[in-house]
Amino acid sequence: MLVLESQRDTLQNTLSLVDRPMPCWILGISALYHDSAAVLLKDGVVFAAAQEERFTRIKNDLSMPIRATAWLLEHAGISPSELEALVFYEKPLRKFERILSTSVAYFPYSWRLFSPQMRAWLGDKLWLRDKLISQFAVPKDRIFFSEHHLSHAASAFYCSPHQDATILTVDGVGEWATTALWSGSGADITPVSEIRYPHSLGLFYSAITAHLGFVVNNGEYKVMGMASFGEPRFMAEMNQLLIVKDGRFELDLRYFCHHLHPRRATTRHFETFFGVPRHPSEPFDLDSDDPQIVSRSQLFADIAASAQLALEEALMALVHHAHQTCPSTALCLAGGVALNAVANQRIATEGPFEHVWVQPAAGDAGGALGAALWGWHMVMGNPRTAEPAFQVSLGRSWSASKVADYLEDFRLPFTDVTENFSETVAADLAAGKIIAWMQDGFEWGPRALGYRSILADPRSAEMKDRINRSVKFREPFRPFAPVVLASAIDDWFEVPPAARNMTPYMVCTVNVRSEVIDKIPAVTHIDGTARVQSVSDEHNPLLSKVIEAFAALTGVPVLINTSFNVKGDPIVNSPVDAVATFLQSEMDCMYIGNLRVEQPKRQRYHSPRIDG
Amino acid sequence: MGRLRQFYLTCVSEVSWRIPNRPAKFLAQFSQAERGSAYDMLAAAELTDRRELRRKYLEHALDETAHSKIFRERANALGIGREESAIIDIGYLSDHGIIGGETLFERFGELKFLAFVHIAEKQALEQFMVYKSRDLLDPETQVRLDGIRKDELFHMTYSGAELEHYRKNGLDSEVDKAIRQVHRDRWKEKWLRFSQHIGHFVSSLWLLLIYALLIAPFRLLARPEGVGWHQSKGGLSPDHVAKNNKLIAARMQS
Repeated sequence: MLVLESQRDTLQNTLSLVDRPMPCWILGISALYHDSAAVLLKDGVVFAAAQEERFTRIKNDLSMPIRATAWLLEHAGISPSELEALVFYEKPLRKFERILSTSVAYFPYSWRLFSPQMRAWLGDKLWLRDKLISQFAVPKDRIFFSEHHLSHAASAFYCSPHQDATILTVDGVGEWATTALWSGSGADITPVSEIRYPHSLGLFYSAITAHLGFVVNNGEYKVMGMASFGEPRFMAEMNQLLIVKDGRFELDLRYFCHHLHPRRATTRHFETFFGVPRHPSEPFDLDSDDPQIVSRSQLFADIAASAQLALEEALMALVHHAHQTCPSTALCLAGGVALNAVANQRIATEGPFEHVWVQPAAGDAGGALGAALWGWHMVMGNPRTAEPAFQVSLGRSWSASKVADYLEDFRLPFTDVTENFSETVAADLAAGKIIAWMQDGFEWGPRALGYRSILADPRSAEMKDRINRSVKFREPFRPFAPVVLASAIDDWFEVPPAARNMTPYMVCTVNVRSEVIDKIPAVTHIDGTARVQSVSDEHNPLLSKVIEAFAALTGVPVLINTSFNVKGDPIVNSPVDAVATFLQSEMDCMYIGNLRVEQPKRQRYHSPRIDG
Repeated sequence: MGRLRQFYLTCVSEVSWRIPNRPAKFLAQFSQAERGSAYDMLAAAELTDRRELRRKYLEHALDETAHSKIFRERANALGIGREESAIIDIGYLSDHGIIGGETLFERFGELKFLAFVHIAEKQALEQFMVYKSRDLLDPETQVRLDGIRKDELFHMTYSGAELEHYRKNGLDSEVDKAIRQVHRDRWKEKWLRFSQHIGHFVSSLWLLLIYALLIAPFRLLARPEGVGWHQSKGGLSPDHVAKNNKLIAARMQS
């Protein structure tokens, strides 16, 4: 009888497969500038997504996302020939036109830029369609090209909970646009206006990033963190560099040379304002015994504070202009500048919109998502449907048996803590242990949102220094973000109503409530803010339960949540990455799935030497 | 080490390491090379079918990561330039084909990968010996390098022992072939890099000439983009779609 039933089920499954139309797969690609990524849509819904850096282990990897795509296709169980469309996130020839036009317009000062740019384009980027055909094995007629800022706009709007919204995209540069305004309604995104290269808020902030000794396209959030330690005493100078008026901005090009030089962003005039740039290894220590170090550090902090304020002023002007030009209750923000969580707080608090939304991968990686969604909605003409809240665990996951195999092979003892899992993790956290946490598929976007995280107790200020010093090996001024139970967020943080939809994605800072500020010093930045993430059963049930158990032990429904990596590395992807990162830092234990691994007691994992 | 190789290494090192500011640059490059090597070892630990080798690959990766940090610290201590440091950090790995695309393990397979590791570590040790014998490094860097040399010796030894293991299992000719191929690949890689430098230089000259002769006349016609808000151009804006069929517009690269 059982056999018959099973045969009937199989037959029904087969019939339904025959009846069901083939799913429509769309691959979105962003690449060749920074943060390359691939996204796979199945019938218009995000099936999986990954940045190439997670596979190649080069932070902000810009190469074509071959490995990410290979994983996506394998995960979906399809071949490239089954892709309905491959959508690249920008129009390369229009970008080339901008580069050539800029070289001409700024002749003869653009001579340094011309040669490397032309070499890159003539040798490689100009033949993008052929490259896509050969690398992804997709027929020519299935390859589409969106537009850089349109891809950003699509990534923000289609993933938002809003059917009508004003969309503002702000980044370094796309084809021509550096800032663009759009109107979104249903499945349509209509272009309104744009500000063009070389006037760019993203490149302004990158110039400051480089001046402060950080890596461009990577260190911008360090500037944001550093800003809180300074006073904006350079606003007069900033207002000369970045002129904001009538709802728009422009750069004074006497101070910038990103349009003339392949490696430099600022001219010598810039240095007359802000002095000699900071060397990447120059210490930043406001508590140093050396007065010269303190003085230089304060200078850098003040420059960062001034730049941050100047950026916020410019963004506020743009947001008000956007509201006047395309009135709406909701604003969708995208582009690399939309990852500035401090500015987002100000937009949500002081801006004219009732709702503000930022998709977690607002930078160029998000372009892949936007390109794919643009293909589905605007090229193929599919309507939008009401979708559940945007989920972020879109990356590769690993089976428990595979993880156990690796741990055995590495001779790392582990215990299965399936029973009382949440309570065991919470007890470790309450005991002051720093925990490496790897669960399910990795997150989409640059933030660790509870799938590849380092978790710790936020109740002691020392914890922040300990993690910065011995675990992440990063600058001591860098703050840590809190993850809080969604049900308790208002007891601990002052969330502006307009920012409520953003809290699951750690893209907006909020004020920590004054009455609890002493209870969570490790996640409260010097200015009393925190880049909060809320979790609920809807977004991350496993982590949610751990925080509930931690709250039961301590009365605090908040944890430190920082990315599972060390300085300079991308967030971990595989169990091997996780083990290597765990062993080279001073974390106390690691949870991969339901397996708990203690940090080996020996000083070095490989000492004494293993058998030869 | 053969006499010819020793002579070559001594000459090159004597010249290059005595140039002011070069040691800091070399150490920063070593740091990146070790970082790339760590990624390759981690990939090997993940992909190998020989489970007994996983731990060795992992240990090797951890060593390389530690070395990378040491080299970076020494480069900073010797005052590497700000711009130079950024160039090396951003582009060194991909420019040298160390990382990106397929990993060494995927490209080579287990046996050739082990041969590569063995030869690379052996040559690194030889290089470090020359630095020491010619007293080319500052005392602090030399002390740190002595520590690194011990690790490199371990890497050379275990990979050599694994090659022996293959030989004992009757794969003598395969091992010899892999070693020959690795030597050949390394020379080929050096030649390609040299050719790339030449090509880079020549193409720069040509492009500069084009810039001066062809771009200059157009300067009279060109104007920089104006400031402020402009009407959006392109995309699937109504104008663009009106001029082209929607699908054709979406397929266009411009």
